[in-house]
Amino acid sequence: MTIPDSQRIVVTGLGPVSPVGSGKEAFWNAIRAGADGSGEVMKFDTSMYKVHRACEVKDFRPRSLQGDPGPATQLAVAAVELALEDARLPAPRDDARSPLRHAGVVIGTTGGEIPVLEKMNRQRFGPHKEAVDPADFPKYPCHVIAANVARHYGFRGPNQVVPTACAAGNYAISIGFEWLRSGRAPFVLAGGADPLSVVSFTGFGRMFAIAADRCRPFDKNRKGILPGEGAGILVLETLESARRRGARVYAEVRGYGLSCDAYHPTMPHPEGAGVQLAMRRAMQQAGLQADDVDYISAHGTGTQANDKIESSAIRAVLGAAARKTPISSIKSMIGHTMGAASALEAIVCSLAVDTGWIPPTMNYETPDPDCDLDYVPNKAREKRVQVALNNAYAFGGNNSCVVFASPGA
Amino acid sequence: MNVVITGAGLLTTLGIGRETAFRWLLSGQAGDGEIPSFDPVKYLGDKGLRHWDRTALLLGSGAQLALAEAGLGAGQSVYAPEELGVVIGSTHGSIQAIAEFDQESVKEGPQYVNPADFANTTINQPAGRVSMQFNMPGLNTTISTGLASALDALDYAAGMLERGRIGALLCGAALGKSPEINEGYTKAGRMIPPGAGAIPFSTGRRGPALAEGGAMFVLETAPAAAKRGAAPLARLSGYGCAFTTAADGVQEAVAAALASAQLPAQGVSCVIAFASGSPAVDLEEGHALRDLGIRAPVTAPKAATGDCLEASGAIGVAVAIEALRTGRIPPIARLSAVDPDFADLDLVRGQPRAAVLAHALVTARDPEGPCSAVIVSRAH
Repeated sequence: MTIPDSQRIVVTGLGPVSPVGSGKEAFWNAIRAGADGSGEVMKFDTSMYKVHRACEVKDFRPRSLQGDPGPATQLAVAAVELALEDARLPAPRDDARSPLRHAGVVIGTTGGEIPVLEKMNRQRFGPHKEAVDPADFPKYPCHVIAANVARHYGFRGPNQVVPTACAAGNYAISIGFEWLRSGRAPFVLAGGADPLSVVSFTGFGRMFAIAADRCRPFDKNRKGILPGEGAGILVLETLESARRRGARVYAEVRGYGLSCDAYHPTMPHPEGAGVQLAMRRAMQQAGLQADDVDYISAHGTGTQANDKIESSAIRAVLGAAARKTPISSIKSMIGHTMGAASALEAIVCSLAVDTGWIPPTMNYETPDPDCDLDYVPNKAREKRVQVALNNAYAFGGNNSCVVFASPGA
Repeated sequence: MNVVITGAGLLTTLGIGRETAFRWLLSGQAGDGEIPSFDPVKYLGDKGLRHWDRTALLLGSGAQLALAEAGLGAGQSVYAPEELGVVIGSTHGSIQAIAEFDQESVKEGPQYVNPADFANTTINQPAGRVSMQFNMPGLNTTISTGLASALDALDYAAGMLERGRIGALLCGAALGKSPEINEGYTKAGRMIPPGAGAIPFSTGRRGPALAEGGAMFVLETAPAAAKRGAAPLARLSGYGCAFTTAADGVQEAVAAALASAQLPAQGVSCVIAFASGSPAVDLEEGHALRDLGIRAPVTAPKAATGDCLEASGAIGVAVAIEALRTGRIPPIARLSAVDPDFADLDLVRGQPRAAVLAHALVTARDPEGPCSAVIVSRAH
């Protein structure tokens, strides 16, 4: 069955804002080189914590935006600008005739503008008891991120935030995919954004799920995540639209699969039943066999549970092909950027398909018998990638897998 | 958009249950911000609820009512678990639990927080708990568009059903009482205490009054419901959305919903208005209805239920279902002095209005820009 170009959804713009660099070139060069985005936490005092490292976006200057929104908006606005530039599409602003006027915006997040709430709590309950600005609270509800982006750039298409935690970037892409297929929007800015959060650092720290030094996905001695921050935005449009305007196509979004563990608020299902279901659904929509998968961008958080379960789920879904399939986790470099994670990983998948390079899993030293697949250890690999799977999972049990493929394949 | 609702669970300050709450609505009485004698154990049992926050408890209880009505309760379902899922509209998530977790860490130090409380800090956790409670691993999505969240969640759910990605969905929204929200929006000047100043379309309206509440639905495609012999309560037949902070957003969303339902403005037989007592929002909605030529009777449940923020659209849809089924439109509670700006609207006042109803319009508008509208139609 041939899918018409009007129903084929492609990636034509990439806007990463990450702890190892922002903008397509800087980000991809750093990711291919195995850069280390970690460091001592700068945004807040960690002297009361047992761990002190995170992956923060450096050299980021918040801009002056109307209404002085929170940092998630700041990151998202910057990522959208980079994605639009990369796609050679001008923001509509006040131009009612701009083709971007009716573009949709869908952004995933874990904590939304939670630093706004954190600031208020410290003013109210901290040692110095300060007055809270009454204008602050309305800046917190997470839907403001997409709304702020749309108002800033002048987009009037469908506008949503999808707060499905650490799988949210993939969920946003799946929603954008459907908006385009159903003709609701001619372009979609889809992705995710999360600033570094005290709540998240506190919670993961208290669960002993933060590594003291580095994030070592799939390594036997992995000790947990490194909290991160960032934003990733992809410009999505139909292949028909991309061809008409002569756009550069990085990859096609060939399908997606979603599921839920329905098992535990924070622990993954021990057999990864939902993880498998999401992968199977994505591959089924894309019409893929196990042998067709050239690369998997893993959720690969660096926790004992996730990496073991994800590996076994990949073995269960791909069978004999699992051992031949390169798998890597860029969380080894940029940390866990929460709602932005799978959006930044979607950018990586698009670039892997486009450039024929697979990013490494850094900090990999000691093999784990529970994780016995090819994790592309410590060095990027040149390989033709026609099909890449992007895995992402979340607290709440939300699982996802999105298929990125070469549009010619 | 063409899916059917085969079960509904409504929880409002006027009472619990689709029919009970509607009976109170018809009486013209108003609730006071909190659901009286809400006991989640009645709906969810007494196991494992310790870490559920109030919003999740409302969602779960509404889900139980909806599933029981749909004939999909424990042991009854003809669907395999992976054919079942949950879609929630939420913007504040478990905000009370999120704030308290962080406040504990500020007051006592980060090493003293209870790690079990951390789970509630992700906005999707209430939806995740509902999936766990009812074993629905097929899909779990939370949609955030502020006060339009519930209607946008219904549209998302309908799309997933129509594309055959899932067999049946629990979908809806709830907002549990929260001092954080109350204080935050009151100090920001967006909310006022319940009372005369919060009556929609009234001359003296000064703003919305916060309340808890919510509604959950079981959604299926019409063929899937027919196949298992389930009688639909109503049909979702149209949806439209717009994004703007300008005062024409509601009009654009309603026009899109009418077009999607292939319904002329005269085909709308009643309006379940979003109007909350907010001076500007009520005006925008009134003008939208006038300019689109919608002459149908208008009611505004928030006069009685209070403003349940992201859950308002779900409550609106539940009210629409009952109005369509009973042929009665509830009055706008306590409304006497109508703002002359709304002189050309047929506002239902005093007594319920009896009428033959086919299509109800439900609207929503968030101050940040999202506007949505849904058409709920009689099942047959």
